[in-house]
Amino acid sequence: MGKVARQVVEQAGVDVNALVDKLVRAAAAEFTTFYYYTILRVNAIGFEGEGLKEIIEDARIEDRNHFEALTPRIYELGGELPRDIRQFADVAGCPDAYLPANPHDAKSLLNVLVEAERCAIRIYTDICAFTAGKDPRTYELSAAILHEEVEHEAWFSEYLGEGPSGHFRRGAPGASPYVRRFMTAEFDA
Amino acid sequence: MVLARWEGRIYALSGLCPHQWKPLAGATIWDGLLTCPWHNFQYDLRTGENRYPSNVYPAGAEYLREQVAPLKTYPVEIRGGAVWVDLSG
Repeated sequence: MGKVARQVVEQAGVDVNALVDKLVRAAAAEFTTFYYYTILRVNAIGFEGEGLKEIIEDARIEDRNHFEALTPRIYELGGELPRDIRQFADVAGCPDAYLPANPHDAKSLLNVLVEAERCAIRIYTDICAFTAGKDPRTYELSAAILHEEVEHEAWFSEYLGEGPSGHFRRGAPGASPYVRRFMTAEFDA
Repeated sequence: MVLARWEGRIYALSGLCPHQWKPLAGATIWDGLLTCPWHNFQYDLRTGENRYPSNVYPAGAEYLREQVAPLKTYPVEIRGGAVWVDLSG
């Protein structure tokens, strides 16, 4: 734990225990979504599914990146990840992104994906609002993740024909253009 | 209990999200949907029906049905400027 790192956030008026709780639930949502997106990705097959595979892969890897970028902040603030992964999954801030009953129905697949991203947008908007002007490190990290979640929603929404996303493809799968500066482990995407 | 005002009407709903029985304090409302702050489950203010994630859970998955149970709603009347909630139902 960073003693002063936590102290200054408390002094700024943030309920640090509540913030840590929000960060753990966000990290759990990223971790479980990474798992479920892996299943969705392998089932994205056929004429429609293969077209989706690239953006599912970007979103899948970037969600894993979000988990890895969030974890150090949880510990810096004196929190910890649950020691039991089942408990971790249960506190995830978003519902599980299950494979649809018909896994080859591309529209159902896209609905799962777009709703998962919308849930993530709500999580990070909440954390940004909770920390704005008080905890710049958590705020900037959450805002960076929010940028990527908003893009993910736009990609899937575009596939559903809800409107253009203005999407430019990532240079490499899961490149995390906003979050990568918070990735302290080696990053070679 | 949650009392919510949306488009000029008052709605009364259970204060516990049926997903994990967590309190709905801090829930948000948008477009007629109440969003639980814990796991972002969403409920129709008028009927209490779960709208998310029931809309993306696999059809026919009985083991998930309990998770997306409706939020209990209560009849509301406005009498003399006061909100009356019928808890007998």
